[in-house]
Amino acid sequence: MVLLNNKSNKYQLQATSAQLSESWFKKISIDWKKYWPLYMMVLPAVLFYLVWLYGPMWGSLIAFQDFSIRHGFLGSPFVGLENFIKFFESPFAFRVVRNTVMINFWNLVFGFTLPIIFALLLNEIRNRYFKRVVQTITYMPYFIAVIVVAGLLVNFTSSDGIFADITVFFGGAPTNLLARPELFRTIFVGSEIWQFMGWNSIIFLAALAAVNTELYEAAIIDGASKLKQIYHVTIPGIMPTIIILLILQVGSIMNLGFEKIILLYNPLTFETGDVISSFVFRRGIENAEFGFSAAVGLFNSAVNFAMVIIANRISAVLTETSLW
Amino acid sequence: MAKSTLNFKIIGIVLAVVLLAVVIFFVARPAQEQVVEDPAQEEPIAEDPADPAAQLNWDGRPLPAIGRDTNHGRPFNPTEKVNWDGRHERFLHGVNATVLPVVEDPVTLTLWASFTSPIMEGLHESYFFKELEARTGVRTEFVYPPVGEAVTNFNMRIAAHDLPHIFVTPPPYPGGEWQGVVDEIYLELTPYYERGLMPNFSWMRNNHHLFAEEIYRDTMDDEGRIFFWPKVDVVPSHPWSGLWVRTDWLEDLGLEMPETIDDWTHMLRTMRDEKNVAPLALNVSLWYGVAYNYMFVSSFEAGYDWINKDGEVVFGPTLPGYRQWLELMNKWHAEGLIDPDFPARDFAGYNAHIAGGNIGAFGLAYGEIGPILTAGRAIDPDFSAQAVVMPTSYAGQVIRLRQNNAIVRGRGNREYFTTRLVDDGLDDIAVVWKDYWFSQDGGDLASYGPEGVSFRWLPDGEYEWIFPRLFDEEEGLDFWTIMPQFKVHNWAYLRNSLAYMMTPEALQSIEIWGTQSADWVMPDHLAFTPEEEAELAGIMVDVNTYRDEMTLRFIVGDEPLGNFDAFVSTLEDMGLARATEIMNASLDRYFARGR
Amino acid sequence: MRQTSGEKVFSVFNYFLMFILCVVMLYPIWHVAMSSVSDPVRLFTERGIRLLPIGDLTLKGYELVFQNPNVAIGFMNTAFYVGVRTILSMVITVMAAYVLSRKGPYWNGAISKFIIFTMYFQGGIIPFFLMVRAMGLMNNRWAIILPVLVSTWNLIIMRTAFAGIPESLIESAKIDGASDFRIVWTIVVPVAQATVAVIALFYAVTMWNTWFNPAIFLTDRALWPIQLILREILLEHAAVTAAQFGAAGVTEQPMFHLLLQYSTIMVVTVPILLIYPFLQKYFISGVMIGSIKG
Repeated sequence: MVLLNNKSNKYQLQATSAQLSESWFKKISIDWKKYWPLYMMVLPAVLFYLVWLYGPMWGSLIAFQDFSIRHGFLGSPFVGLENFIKFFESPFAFRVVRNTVMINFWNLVFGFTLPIIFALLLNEIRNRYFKRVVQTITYMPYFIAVIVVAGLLVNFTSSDGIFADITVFFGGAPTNLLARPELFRTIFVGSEIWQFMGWNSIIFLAALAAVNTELYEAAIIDGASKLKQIYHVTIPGIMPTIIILLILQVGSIMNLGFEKIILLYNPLTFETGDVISSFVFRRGIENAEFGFSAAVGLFNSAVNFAMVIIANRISAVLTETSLW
Repeated sequence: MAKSTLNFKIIGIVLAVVLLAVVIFFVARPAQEQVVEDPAQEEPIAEDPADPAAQLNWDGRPLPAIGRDTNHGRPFNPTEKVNWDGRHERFLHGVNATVLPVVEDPVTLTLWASFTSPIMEGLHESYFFKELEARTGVRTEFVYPPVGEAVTNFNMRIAAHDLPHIFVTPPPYPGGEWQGVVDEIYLELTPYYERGLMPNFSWMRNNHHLFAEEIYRDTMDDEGRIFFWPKVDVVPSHPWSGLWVRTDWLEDLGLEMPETIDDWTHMLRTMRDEKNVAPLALNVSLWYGVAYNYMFVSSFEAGYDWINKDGEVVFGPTLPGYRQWLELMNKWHAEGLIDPDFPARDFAGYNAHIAGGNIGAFGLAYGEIGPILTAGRAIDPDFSAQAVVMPTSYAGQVIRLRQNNAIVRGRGNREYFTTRLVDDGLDDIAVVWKDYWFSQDGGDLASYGPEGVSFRWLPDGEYEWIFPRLFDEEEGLDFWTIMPQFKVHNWAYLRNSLAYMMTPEALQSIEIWGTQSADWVMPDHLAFTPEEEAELAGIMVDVNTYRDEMTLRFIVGDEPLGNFDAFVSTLEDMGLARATEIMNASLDRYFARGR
Repeated sequence: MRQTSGEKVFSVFNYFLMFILCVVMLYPIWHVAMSSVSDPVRLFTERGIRLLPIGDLTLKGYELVFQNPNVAIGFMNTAFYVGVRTILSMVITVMAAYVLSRKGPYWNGAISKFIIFTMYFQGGIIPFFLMVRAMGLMNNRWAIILPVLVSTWNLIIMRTAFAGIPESLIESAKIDGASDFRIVWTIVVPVAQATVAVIALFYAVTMWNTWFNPAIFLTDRALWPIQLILREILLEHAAVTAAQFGAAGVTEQPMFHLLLQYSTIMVVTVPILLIYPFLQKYFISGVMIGSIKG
């Protein structure tokens, strides 16, 4: 496995301060002399981040202001944690955070693993033509606009829709499934899988393609069955990709866009379906409460970041693969 | 210990901070003005100017003689509304106090408006604006926000102080509309009003034979300041949405139009049994539903939101009538009289369900009835529907709540002048120009388009549309699509709100619903201070969520109706008392606006 | 190589499963395709599974789309944005990913953290807007390309892939005197071609789908990408506004909204579907590392 994080040498603590500073400065110069072409190669990216991502970053401080778009950042008063308190004061704050996390959690459990399994299964298809056709068809739902997918779903889940027909066939009573809060997360995550499984599997297919075929040959010579090959060659081969993507996904635990939620939920399913973004949306971003929405965004970011740090640490210890 | 190493780290941190500070300064530069003190304390109530007929025009020109063609071919009479074209009384609502042209040397005003059309490149193609320019000498240039991104474009313009001369129906100003004036984005109109530059507007506020009081109140804020141009429906169409019934089903089943709640129950049961459907299409919190139409909830003298019960503001769901309404809905739902998919229906699905012949009664806006009739008749040629009034729950009851449009339309229909007019020295001209839209002559132009081009008056005092494209069968375009070519719709002017081609059902619906009063409906033009507004918004977000959720739960039976009292007390725990206080204070201030 | 009977059963099951998945996943686009040529009035009322177009076949939806003169311009603009963006983004991302995947450089850890931090903390739309303005990029094509040149997510994935390349390959190239720059393009990219192809696909598709930034920054319609043009066409025909104020629909005109929605989706999706098979070959087949040696 690849070690991606650099740790500085721990064994120089005994040196004197003069020696220490001298050796650090020397190390830097040596490092620069050796690696300057690499630093040149990474410079465009670094400049990009500096200008376009760090440049506007002062905007996250809007969360602590009573921000007026007219007076901008320098002209708006600071109000400390007021915006955050406004959010957490609501009796629904806990609920919407919980719903966001729960939906993302289930999306992680199913929406993350199913594309991997799908990629593995697809990889076992011999017929190249069939493989390509399947692959093309399964990623098509990704391109259908959310509003159409939601429309289809509303249709299928109504009391005269296809799911109701199936229920009746098995002897049940037809009901509207989107009116049942206990089903909302299932329907939502299910629709995410339906829409994104094919697309999300692409990256795993690429990782599978990168596994050295010589390793398979060696395993076959050793007499490994298909299953053993998968277990000993394939999965270890794509493990770094899986782990990195998993860490990234964990770091999105608070991110749930409101567009699809708004199209699928209704007051009966607020209990399980109202998430942070839909709650903030209903508050009326049209009112342009920039400070408030920045505060909620900052809160989400902080939680995401904390999760990523934890996940990264765990992964670094367990698997030696980590984000930094 | 490792001081030298630390030094480098400190230097690095300092450099990073300096870099960040430079970037912040560079980027956030536009905002350097001081926050302006709210001039509320010093502003007097807008005083009405002296009688305009006694003076010269605002720019010193002599006034034309009173007469039909005395004002550059247009009518002139600054004190009296006159019937120049033999038209019906009900079309007369203003005077003609504007001396044309407004300017001798042409000027250009830049207007920001949301506009998109499949048949026009832009508003400059409109016959209305061409004629307006010909009469007034003021050229109009348009800037359009990207389609669907009006809010972002509006906010960005404010942030960058990149303003047009006029914002036409902009999104809400962050912090409230008056904040726009405080921020020196919007231009306050009171000084121009007091100088006599808005004679048509002033006459309308003081002398309108039917609605002067209401117009007076609704065109200013609590302090008497005028800072927006409103859309004034002097030929009103008060209700645009309400209850409908499938009249062909009534005929089939030998039923009469329902008038009481019991009639309704009977009718719905019969429809369910004979037609084998769940006949009532219901939407609670969104369009055409209870929240907008007071569907059945007004029969119990309650409301879904705030109501003005004889001068006192009450939150509808806390009233005992609300419980009675919930009980009725719950009963109907349990009996299978309400569409079982009603909570999850989206907008298109709702209409489709009705047009598909599955529904016997529904709430709808009159604008939707056209497409539904067309689609419905494609399946069932007998499909027909008619509007019906809100039923009564006891004998002798007077219904006081129904969907209503005020004469002066709400916040989403205003135009605002910006301070750029002052910077460009065009403020006086723009005010006089815009005031022309509130004269009888200008209002007509906006409502109908140029006479002889889009419409003409008939000998009997009515009017008819003559714009050729409206009658082009081959093209098959509807009135709505063609209309921007010759008239304006959501702009600020003296408006005939019925000047559209409407289905007979739609016209009839306005009449039918209009027979009931809307006394208890909250006025559209309450004003709040920014602090009140923020406080109210904070409370109402939670209250609304809870109310939306619990109402549906009560109706479908997920929540037993015995818990109604707990529901009300939870609402109160969310700060409803304070919200009611704020609303009442605002309502009192509203009615205190007087002449 | 002979399959065991167990493997044969699994194979049959696998093919069957894939077939079912295809049917289920094909349905949305099929539904859209069928609806896009259906009778608009009946489209309004009929819901439910749609296997064939309903009512009389009509190309009116596509007519409405293509009669707009901006559609051709839109496609050309999108081709520009997608092409330029993908090339620039790939060059920068590949180089950065290569550097960050090396173990030697001292600053790699710091740079990685520097970059990853931005995935979690951003400034928001107002500062971003002001930044673009400050750079003088308003109403400029580069406002669409420059601010999104690098996607951190893509960068990380590529870094992971590059880190997995056997060190020996790179060592031997270095011994032969190749510069890092040359190594990237002659060894690293071909070996990791699957991931490189996928990331290129991701960059291209995100640019293909983009409409929000163009909506805010491009006032000149001649610069608009196809997604924005189509969005405008759709909103032009929105029947909703007609409903609010009582104008009567005397013809089918207000009905076209649904039809148009479906037609625009087809117009914007079909080109991608046509291009995709060309990229597939890079990440379907396996790679023989041995063949790259030397």
